[in-house]
Amino acid sequence: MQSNPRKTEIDMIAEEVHSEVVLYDKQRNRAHCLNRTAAFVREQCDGNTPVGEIVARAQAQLELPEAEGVVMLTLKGLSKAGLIEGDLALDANGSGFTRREVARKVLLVGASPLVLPFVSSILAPTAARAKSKDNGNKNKKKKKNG
Amino acid sequence: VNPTTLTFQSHGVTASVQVDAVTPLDRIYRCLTPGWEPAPEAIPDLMYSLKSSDYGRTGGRYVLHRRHQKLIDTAELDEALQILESDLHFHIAQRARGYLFVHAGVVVWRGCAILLPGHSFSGKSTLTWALLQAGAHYYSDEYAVIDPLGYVHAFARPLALRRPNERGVIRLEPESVGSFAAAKAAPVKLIAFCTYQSGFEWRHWPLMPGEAMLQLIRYTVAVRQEPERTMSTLRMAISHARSLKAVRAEASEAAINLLRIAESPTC
Repeated sequence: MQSNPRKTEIDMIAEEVHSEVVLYDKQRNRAHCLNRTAAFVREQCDGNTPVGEIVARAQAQLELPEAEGVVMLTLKGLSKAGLIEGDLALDANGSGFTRREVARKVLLVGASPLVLPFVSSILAPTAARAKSKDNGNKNKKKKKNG
Repeated sequence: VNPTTLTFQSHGVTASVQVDAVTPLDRIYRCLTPGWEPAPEAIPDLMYSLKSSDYGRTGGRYVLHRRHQKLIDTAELDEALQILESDLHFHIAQRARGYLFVHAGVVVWRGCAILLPGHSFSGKSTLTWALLQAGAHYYSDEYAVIDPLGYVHAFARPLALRRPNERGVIRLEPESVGSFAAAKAAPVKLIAFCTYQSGFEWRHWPLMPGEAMLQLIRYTVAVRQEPERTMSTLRMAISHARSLKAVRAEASEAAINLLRIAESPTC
């Protein structure tokens, strides 16, 4: 049975930067940047709220066009970054929603592409590696998820 | 030969360097962190010793230790001093109290700081030097030293430019191009993540503040030890700054573009 998404919060530091949120995971030493859409969706992931309800809230509060597609892309990105958990049954394309397809629909209704989710992640360097060229992010997973 | 011990404080860290009489003290002073102050004899956070065998005669060696760890054993005093400076600065950056150290070149233009984050060998000293030649004031070619309010403090050692295909560096004083090492803390106006690519024309792209903060984390020395302080300090530093990514070739061309961007009303 599919479970509701729940944000992972263990040892997480959050800083709001303008409309974005930067998170630091102290256990994994990973830092993440979430744009407004991704931050909003993650906030709704309390383990009790079904995806359908998150879509409805995103549509109402962010005035998102193509809310279902945008939310599904966001959940996929957050899940890949380890920022939410739950059996979301997301396939490789985020339950059939591709970023390209959702972006096309968003642009067709005249909305800003900035409503599309953005989740970027890095591995925080050790002190020595902050100095050197290979700072541990050689194999970093830096993605514009969704 | 009686050893001499220099004990000093820098950015909340106490350190000592013990040297024998063979090593000229003025050479040691030049390795210390900018802004160091003499400290009373106490148990230091960092202890170095630089000792020479054969007292400088031909075949003599210089051996540098940090506590009990041997850092280098060399016939070249210059080499030993370069390791001393690099290791000392790095460990003070890591242990600094009240300041966050980010690997970056820093200049000040019209009262505001331009940060050039980058790793060693990424060309940040070259670009910093080009900005000084274009009229900016010097703060650092090594670390952006940021206080909890997000202001940048000078860390103005003489610039270290690497010579192509040669070991070692040449040291340049900012005064030689009419610039000077400023003393006042400055707010950050522009953060430029520049990548050198031979033959390319200058191109730049804006970065959202959150993404800029993420990128700054990559160059922050103590992020793993002090993530809370890192996050809050970086947020303050970028709060009124514009950020960009750029590809550059010639440093002089990049410097002109950076100053132009820093002057624009949107910056």
